[in-house]
Amino acid sequence: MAREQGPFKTDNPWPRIGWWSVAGLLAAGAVLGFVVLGGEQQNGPRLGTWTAICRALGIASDTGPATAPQPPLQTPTRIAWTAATLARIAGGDVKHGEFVALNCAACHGEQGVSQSGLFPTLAGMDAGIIYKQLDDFRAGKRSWGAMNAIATALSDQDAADVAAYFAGRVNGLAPILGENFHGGRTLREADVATRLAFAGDPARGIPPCAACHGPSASKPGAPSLKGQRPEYIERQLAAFAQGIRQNDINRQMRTVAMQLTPDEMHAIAVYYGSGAAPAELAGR
Amino acid sequence: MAEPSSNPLRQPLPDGVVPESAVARTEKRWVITMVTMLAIMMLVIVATGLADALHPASNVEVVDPRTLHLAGEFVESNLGTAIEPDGSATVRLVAVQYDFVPNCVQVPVNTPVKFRLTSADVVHGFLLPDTNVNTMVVPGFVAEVRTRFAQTGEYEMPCHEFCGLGHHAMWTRVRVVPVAQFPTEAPQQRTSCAEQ
Repeated sequence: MAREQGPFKTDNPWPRIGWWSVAGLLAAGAVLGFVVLGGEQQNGPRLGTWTAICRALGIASDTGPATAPQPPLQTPTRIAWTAATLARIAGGDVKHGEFVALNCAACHGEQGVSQSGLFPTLAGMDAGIIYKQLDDFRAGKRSWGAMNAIATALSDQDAADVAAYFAGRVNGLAPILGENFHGGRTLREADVATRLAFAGDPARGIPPCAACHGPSASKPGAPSLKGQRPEYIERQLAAFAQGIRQNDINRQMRTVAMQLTPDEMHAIAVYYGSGAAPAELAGR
Repeated sequence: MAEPSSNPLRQPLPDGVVPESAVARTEKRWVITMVTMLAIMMLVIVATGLADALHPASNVEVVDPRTLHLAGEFVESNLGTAIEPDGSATVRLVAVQYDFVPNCVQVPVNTPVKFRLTSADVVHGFLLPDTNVNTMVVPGFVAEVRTRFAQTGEYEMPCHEFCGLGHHAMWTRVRVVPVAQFPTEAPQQRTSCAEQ
């Protein structure tokens, strides 16, 4: 005779045994995870039962890091990529930006396409990046004589407007996500610039440039480099390496640039700058 | 046909129906096997967790990953090794695509060390081979790991959670130095070997 089947039948003992086993397993897991293991701390006394449970659930935390004494505060920038910042940048007015940009043409070229190795091409650069650099110049987080004065003269809205204007210009930098990742560019690549740009050098902790600067991948704050003035790229790499320029959030560029040799910096600059208009070599 | 076996499983089944006693016995055997395996695995987890301090951080702390560099515990000037008043070391690190900041950590040997990490962008991993240090670094949360280094030397510290196209280049070093060599400093100072 077949037994009655089903998870809630009482005349068959096995469903009951099954339910109790699962409940017991959960209870044992909770006790082991929350209390036995959760209360254990290396280099410290065992936590009480309720402290361990509350800490594990995030209700209470007995670590109070914010009140500990800190070295003098040092920040790379005032900008963080929060929703509020992005909204402010997105609110840039291109028409007014074009008017503000009349101040930029003398150095950064007609419509932001630089003709000098001293100054970066701005046409096609992401608006957020232009906005951040202007704020860094204004706050003294990045230094370049004339730019600090010019940025101080601009209002926050002017900066967002002019950033929106340059971001919309063509004939400048290549779009950061414009081409697909090129396969077959590996660590065995003979050309040093291509190798560093697409594979990096893991032995020295150098990630590929393309992982943030494109093509195929992007990161807030990382500008497109294809089409930038090679002299400018090289000088910025050197400035990051020497700590002259320190406005990169979380030391991302300083850490990488420190590992590069001058020859590698030059090769990368030439590789990315190969699409730029002929230079006067003023900035070398 | 051979002699009818005493094993009920070997007996010819009447019209395809398995005798209930045989089913019950087999099921019981399987349940015992499974429960034993489960118990052994749980025992291994708990035993290693307690004996080698191999367990996840027991606290949940939240932090805004977008504003780490502006204020709070993970600002640039506060990263690195801090020597606490009780002589223990606290190491603060930010994991970011594609580096740990600072990218070289110096800690004293035979001293309680507390690593406090967080991520500024995506999920990273933090692993010191041959130690109990192995944690995920999740954006928005602080990962705290405690350890003690018994020998001086240099540990290579890879990111072991795939974090993007530069993941393979994301690693750095933890240098364990004798306590005597470790710079004795005011409590507000931070050290690392990143600049060397």
